[in-house]
Amino acid sequence: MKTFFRYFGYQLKDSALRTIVVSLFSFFYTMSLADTGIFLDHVYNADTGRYDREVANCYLIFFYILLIILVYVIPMMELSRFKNRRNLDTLYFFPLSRTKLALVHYFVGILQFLAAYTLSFGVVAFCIIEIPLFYQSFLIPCYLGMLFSSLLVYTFVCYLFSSENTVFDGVVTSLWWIALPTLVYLIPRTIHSSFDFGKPSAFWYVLFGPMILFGEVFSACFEFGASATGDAIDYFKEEWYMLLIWTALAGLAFFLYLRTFQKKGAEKAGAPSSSPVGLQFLIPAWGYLGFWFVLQLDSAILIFMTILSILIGYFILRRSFKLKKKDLLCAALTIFLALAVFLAAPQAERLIERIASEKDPDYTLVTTPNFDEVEAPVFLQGCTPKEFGATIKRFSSYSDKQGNVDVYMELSFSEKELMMNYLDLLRADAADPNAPYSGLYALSSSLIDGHTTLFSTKYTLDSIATPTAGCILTISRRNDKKCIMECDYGVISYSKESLTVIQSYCHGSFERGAVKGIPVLATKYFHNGFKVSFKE
Amino acid sequence: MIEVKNLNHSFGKHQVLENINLTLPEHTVMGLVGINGAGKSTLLRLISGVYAPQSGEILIDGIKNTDENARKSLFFLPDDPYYTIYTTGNKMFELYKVFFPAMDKKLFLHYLDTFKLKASKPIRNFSKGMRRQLYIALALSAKPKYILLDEAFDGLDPLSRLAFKHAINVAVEEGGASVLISSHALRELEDFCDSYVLIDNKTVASSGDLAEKVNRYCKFQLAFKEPPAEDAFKGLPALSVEQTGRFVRIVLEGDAEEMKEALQGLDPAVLEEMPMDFEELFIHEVKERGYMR
Repeated sequence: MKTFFRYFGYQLKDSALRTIVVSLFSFFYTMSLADTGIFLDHVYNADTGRYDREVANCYLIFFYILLIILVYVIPMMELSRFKNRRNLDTLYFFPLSRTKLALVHYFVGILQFLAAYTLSFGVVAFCIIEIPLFYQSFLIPCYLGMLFSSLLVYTFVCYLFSSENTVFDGVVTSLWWIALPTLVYLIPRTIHSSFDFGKPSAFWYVLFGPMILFGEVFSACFEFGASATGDAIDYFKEEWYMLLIWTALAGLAFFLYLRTFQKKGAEKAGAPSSSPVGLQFLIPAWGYLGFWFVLQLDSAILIFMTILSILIGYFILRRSFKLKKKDLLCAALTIFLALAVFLAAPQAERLIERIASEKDPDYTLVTTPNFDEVEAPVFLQGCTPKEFGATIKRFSSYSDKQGNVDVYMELSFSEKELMMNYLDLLRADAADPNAPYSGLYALSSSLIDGHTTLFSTKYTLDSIATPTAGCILTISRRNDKKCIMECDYGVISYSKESLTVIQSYCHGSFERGAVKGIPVLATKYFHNGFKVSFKE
Repeated sequence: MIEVKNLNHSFGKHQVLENINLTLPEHTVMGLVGINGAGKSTLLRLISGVYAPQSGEILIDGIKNTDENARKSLFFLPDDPYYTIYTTGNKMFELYKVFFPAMDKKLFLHYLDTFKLKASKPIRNFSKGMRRQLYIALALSAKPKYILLDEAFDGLDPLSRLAFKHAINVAVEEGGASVLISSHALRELEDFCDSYVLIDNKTVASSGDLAEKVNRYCKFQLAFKEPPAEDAFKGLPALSVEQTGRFVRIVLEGDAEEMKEALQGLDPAVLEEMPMDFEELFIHEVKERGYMR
């Protein structure tokens, strides 16, 4: 053990300069972006009767990006020396077991991360606690929570990077396993709201990789501090097993990391990929998924590009245009399998519809990507939103099995007065039983701009709350059995006598909600809102 | 003592070493020789624990070499050692001292002084030979019980070679070290190796006392008045016969005096005994095994 600690001390000393550089970079990065803006929004707290302030995520997103960079780059810097055969001739002959060697570099990397993270967190915390009415007691739990989730990702990167034989393959494999599934989750939803799968259950988290968990912990920590209501933490109370799964997987990754060090031959350093979780697995696995997906899009060019991508993947694996027979066989088998599965299904359902139906089994999502083709509901006494100078930012409609249709529109008004006029019309329309879309509107507006969200169903209006702070939200009765309330970006409170809904939102995702006094049947969170089913 | 028992190793489907058995006794210098690609470096890496053998056993003083304690008495100097762009001699010393606490800084600096090297200079600025000198200085100042050197003389100038050989002798005689040294500079090895191991065709082709091996053969140069017949040397235990007209060079196995007497019977105009060296024996031996370039 003495040798272990001596080597650990040596490596700490040897990495001191690197630690200082990384920490300074993190510090100045967070400092320089502090001016990007920490937007404050007003959140009415019905319990306290005061306006709380909420920290917008703009600045925090940059901090989040920094953490991602650190948990990727630091293990790669520590472990890249083991990808060189010349280095291994010396490092492996040293009288220190490979397990201990692996542990030294693992913990040295963690300490480097800790220094950079602590320094940059300090800057972020300082910026936040400057804001009045912010709950400062959250800082330490926030620090520890994000540290924990960062270390989970760090451990995965250590294993994936060390499983490969070269630095390049290690970087590609780590990114492919961790970042790519997350991007599959994130990118489509930013392109179009139809691809918003909502807040995924733990199963999807496992599939989409630890970065999703990382992001959720990150958001939860800051939201908890902003509101101290613990609503974001409530999510974890329901999906606690997600945290457990990923912690267990990280433990497995750590074990495999040590095992890789013990078992992998030094002669493999610099050789083409031979990792069981590396390119040889990823290329056919993702090739299959990608090819099966593009088959459903009926696009010949995408199909061709997918096949080409598979081949390019093998060229990169072999680092040559000369592929082995087994590579070509694997590529052919991948394509054949994807095609076979696609053709075997009686009707090729659109993937988006299937996922959407998982979100709410009572609803079928129908999306209309081209807003010009949208037939805006002619329920506003013959007026369409466009006639009020509104731009339709998002539009989707849900139809349930009973034939009820929910229309969801997100409108942006150029002037607040126009928005208020529109609101008046909506209220008038809501009272008209003959209107084709009579009844219920959930509406919200923000103090920041004239951004308005419109939601309507054909059910009877239950109550309309008086606008407070320029916001209105209404609840509808879905059917005789239960009351369902849907809103975006809302903080709500409800009492039997009257329903008062206070809502605010800012750009970016923000969710929280609490329903008091009414037994809640179920709460389901989505990316841009939540749905609460409760008993009347 | 280092014992290698029934060692087998391959890289993928390519078998590199097969059924290797050898023993490195204490207080000895053993030369490890073989043609390029014979497996000398692989064997050194297997003994030092860099590679794990597929089968067989390597014991260092009775303990398996996979045990980190066994390797505490061993120093392996590969042909291209590890360093980074900012590494200096001092930094390398600090690194090795972590694992060999008994490393002697004064001795290290003494050897550097002998080789005219500066410990504070970055290694990246050293020539190949200078880097080798630095690492030899590290190896000797570590005072390990076993030193494994791969291509030890590579890049060293003649003076450095002399200094190196002297230092090895001191380490063995006074320090009690055992050295296993692989090199293609067979003439250098002959000067100070006690024993040798020849690796050929994946296995140990021959081994033993080096002086004894060399002394078993003798070499003569003859000149005749007339070119001798092709079968003139047929009855002699000749390892090789090179004839150029009236001049003949012959290597014979046996006692030098007896062979000289036998050659006198052929009535040469000139008969001269030549020194026999290990390199020549090596060439003969591998040629016999079918290796030709």
